[in-house]
Amino acid sequence: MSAQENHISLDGPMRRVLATGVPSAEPCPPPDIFAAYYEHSLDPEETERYDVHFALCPSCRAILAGVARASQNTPQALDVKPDSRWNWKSMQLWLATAAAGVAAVLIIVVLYQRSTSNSSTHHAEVAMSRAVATPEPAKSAPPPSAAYAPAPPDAPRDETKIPSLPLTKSARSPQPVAPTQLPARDLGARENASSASDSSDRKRAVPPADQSKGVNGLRDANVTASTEGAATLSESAAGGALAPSARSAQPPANNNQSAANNRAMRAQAGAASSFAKVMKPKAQAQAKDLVVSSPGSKITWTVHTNHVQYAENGQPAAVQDFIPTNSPIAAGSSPGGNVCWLVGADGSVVRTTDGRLWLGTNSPTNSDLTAIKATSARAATVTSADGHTYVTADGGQTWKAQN
Amino acid sequence: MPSSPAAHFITSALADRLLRKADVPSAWGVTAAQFQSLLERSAAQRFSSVSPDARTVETFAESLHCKDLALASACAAGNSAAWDFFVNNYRAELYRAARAVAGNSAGREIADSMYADLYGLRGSPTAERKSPFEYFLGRSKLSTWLHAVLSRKHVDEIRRTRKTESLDDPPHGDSSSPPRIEIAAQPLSADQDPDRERYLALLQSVLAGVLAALPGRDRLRLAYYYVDDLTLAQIGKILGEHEATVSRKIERTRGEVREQVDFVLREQKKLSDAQRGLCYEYAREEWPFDLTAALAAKQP
Repeated sequence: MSAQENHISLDGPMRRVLATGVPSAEPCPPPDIFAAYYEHSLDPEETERYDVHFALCPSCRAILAGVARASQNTPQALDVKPDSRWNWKSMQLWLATAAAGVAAVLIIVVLYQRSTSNSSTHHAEVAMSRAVATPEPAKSAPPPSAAYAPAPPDAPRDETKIPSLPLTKSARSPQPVAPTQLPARDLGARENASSASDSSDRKRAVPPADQSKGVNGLRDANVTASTEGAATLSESAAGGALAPSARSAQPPANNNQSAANNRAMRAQAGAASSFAKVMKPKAQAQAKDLVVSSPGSKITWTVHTNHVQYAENGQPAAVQDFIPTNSPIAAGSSPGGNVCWLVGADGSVVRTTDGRLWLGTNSPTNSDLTAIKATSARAATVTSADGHTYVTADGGQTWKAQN
Repeated sequence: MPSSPAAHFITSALADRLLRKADVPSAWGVTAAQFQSLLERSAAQRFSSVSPDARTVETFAESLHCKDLALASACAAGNSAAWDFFVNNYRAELYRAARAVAGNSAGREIADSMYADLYGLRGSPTAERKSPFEYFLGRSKLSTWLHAVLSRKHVDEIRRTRKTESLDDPPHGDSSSPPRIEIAAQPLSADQDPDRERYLALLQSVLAGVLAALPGRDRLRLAYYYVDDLTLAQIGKILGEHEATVSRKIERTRGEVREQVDFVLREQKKLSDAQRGLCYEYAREEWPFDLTAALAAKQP
């Protein structure tokens, strides 16, 4: 299959997966954050945080797309720059000063090198066997990330280098991906989207209680909807945060609390980071490690956030296995052999019949599931948090309520 | 007395200086004390979870759109001079932006509704005016903030009036439940490969994991392109990137995703070349979305 065909075959499932909203630990932001994000006037840490949220929230993306459409052809009279910008002007000044400093250092070094080489030539007869130690050019630290420095409106601009996705370490070199031509709508073609995105509804999740608070700018709840369907201008923020993306921005200044928040965010290891950890044996544990043992064999499954560590005879597998749910897992059951069932929040049910490959089944309910008793690869009984019991005899395809 | 630590650094001298620097007309009736309260509120919101120093707070305050902040505050208070200014300078823009967001007829309705909202509710002469202007914190231009409010109103209206679920939505009985990635495919027909469902579920779960592991901005770029059908220029505008940069990065990310999916299927799931080929073939059959063809179909 050619690279182009490979792209096409993944376009469909990629669109499907991307269209599915993922519950975000962070509530959707108010309009002033959307506006500041669009104007690139949030600081790097805030921007990165909202990058992650918007990537997972179709409704927020639709709002941003609307802002982009609305902001085209804004009259110049209203496009008034503020008196000063948060950090940007000072950052530009800093960069200019740093560049001048670097240039001055380089000039000094070059001059010193010249003078040193002149003197070494003069003393060649005296110290011919001794190597002249010429100073290495001073290595100047690269300027801080300018990923979010404002650029002239139409100038091409490159972002700060982003750590790349961990690629394969296969001995075989990967097939070169032929550069596919992106469709004609993109290069120079400006289409006004007729309406906002029609993708799946935004689902706003209440963050778990153990997540740390501290979402900048979103704490105050001052929501007023004047009429039904009117814009909700700010949301109540219960705190919590998404796991940050792999790309790191400048460390925030003055931020003991923010550093603690970042640690808490990373400890959650949501969907954004957990799959990368499948490649490494070490994993982040969920708040309470759940271990399921297979009776009559020496197989165990240790459940972490979004993945499972399989072990046989006490030997963990080299890689962990991804489970297709973002919901926290509450209970598990193995009837024996390589069969294991797991259940969790929001009615999640996943199952493996070979010990390693986890597939989701249909869910009997949207309520949290708190217990399961599996008697075979096809038969299991689950209990929900509201006290109902459901039974399946076909591997989770269909469920019957018992009470 | 301000409650937030950051707000303590908003002094009356700073507020007075910024108010004069913004050249706010006195007719708007915004006093230095009131403006100080506005700055304190913005600082409290921004630094709600951190303890910045005075210099940081002062720099933040200086970055705010002070004149817009004063205008919004004066309009929220019902100052007629401020309202005159707003009507003369923003009303036409409001309607133009609403049409850009929602089309001509729906845009006009949204703009009318929003205009009324901005004026604030007034049930009786003694009722407290409650205007959305009170939520403007000055971190952006007032016009951009209005665009965000309009856009949000439009999206809320779409969600409210939508009768059927998108085909891309996983089936839910309860709309308040979070969506899950649909793994189980359609029931098999008699002549289908019995492993087809397994291959599809496998590919989808692996792809979901790979996409979840992408940096937020890369995933956002892909989502705008694949799901929201924005042009490269529009994506670039939102993300602050040049169109060519967006194109290059999307292409790079697509390639990385493809390689990563292939790696996981090969190394972790231990699929052979033939099996991986079946995964891709079944995916193409099951979800026949060809981005190039779909966009070509939209061309006039």
